Amino acid sequence: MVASQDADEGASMGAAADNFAFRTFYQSHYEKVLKYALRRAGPEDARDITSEVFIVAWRRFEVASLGGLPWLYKTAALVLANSRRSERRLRVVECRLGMSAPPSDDADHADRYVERERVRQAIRELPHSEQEIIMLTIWEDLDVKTAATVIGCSSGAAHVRLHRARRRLAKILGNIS
Amino acid sequence: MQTRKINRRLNSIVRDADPVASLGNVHEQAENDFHKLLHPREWDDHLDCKDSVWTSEQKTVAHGVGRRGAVMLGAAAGAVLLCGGLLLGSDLLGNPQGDSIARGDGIASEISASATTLSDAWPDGTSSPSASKVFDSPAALGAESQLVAIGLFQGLQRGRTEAFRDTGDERVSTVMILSDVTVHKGQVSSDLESSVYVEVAWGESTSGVDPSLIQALPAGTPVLIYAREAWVGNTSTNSVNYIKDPDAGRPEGQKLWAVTAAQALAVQTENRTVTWPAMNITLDGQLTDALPNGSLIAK
Repeated sequence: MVASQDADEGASMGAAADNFAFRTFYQSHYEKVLKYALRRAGPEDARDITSEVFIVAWRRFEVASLGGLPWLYKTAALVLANSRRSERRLRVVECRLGMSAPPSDDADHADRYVERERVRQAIRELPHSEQEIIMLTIWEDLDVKTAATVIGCSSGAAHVRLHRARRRLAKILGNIS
Repeated sequence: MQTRKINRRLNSIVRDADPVASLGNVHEQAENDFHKLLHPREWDDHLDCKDSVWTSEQKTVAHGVGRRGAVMLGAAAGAVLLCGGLLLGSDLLGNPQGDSIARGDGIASEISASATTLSDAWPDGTSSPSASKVFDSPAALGAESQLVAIGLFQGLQRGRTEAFRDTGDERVSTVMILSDVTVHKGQVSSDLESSVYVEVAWGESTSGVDPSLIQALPAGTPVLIYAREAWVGNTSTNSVNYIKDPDAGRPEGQKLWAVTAAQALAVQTENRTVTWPAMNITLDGQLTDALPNGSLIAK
């Protein structure tokens, strides 16, 4: 009986420790994963997608905690790919980057807003793989090696992809020097 | 110098165009969502709820994770059986259970892999430039492919090496060998004894095929592939990236194929399930359901 109680307490303490570790993990990464989802899926679905990502992380916490943010982004990419089956979500995904400006833009001067829209449009014109490397390295602020982990390619391939993306983006935008 | 300046300027204007740069305070929202995650039991119910936001694939993955303990025990037992026969260090690595393969139509095999073990062992990075493309149906995937075939897994071996001139990095492909192939689209060698060689992954490790992947795939496991002829690539060392050994990965004169997308390689796994290891998705069904005239596809 005593042994059983000890075992129960041990299990409970283990669960509590897991919860604490997961809570820390969640709080550290929630906003970044939400932003990742917002940039690609729009505000309607971003919260659901973020929740789905953390459900998988909870279930696979020993893997997720080792993989950290790149693992979460990778899982988010799979959840997003899944979400494309829904026609409503497809529309949102197709107009990703085209979402209306956040509140902080309210006070912006009109021509600054126009310039931002022009840059977003230029990113939309890139091939999907190049959009991803641009977003991961600049908006998600990952180094190229970590971005390569998220995309699932070598860092060398990611460097090449980023180089091409920058070249193409500079050409589309024109006169940026 | 000019390029660096342009890159810095580009980074600056792209960063400025971030649509969610200032998200505001999401602390309360995060706390509310976290409450749900603290109660796994609720999420078990959630998984079984028909109108939940979970798709069948996610349910499968999540339930699969719950089963992981049992699966790992099975995998461990399998590993004990296999370890005597593993050909570690040789050119061709395969799980030597081929004697029990029921030969014939290319899928009549009683052997299947463990879904979770296979997905966990699968390397990152597919061989397809369109790996990130998601197809809505097997028909759409088939239309994009030159070869659709079901064969029996025989082994994995080191494939070609791509080098990057600027960084000095290299990546190496993994080639899957299939025998007893039944072709549903396209054409392979008419020689019945010959195998099909498919580039299924690229990785940064130059040491060869990961042994854990070999353990996860018993020889004789039925595998469905949607493939195109492997991209030739540059061989000139003056290129940014180039293939060092274009003929590697298969016997002389054999064609090298490459999977069309992440959805393009499916494996028959235990309990009548099909696993797409590159996507970490498992669905109920048979490989034949995932042929172009079927409806089974990982998304």
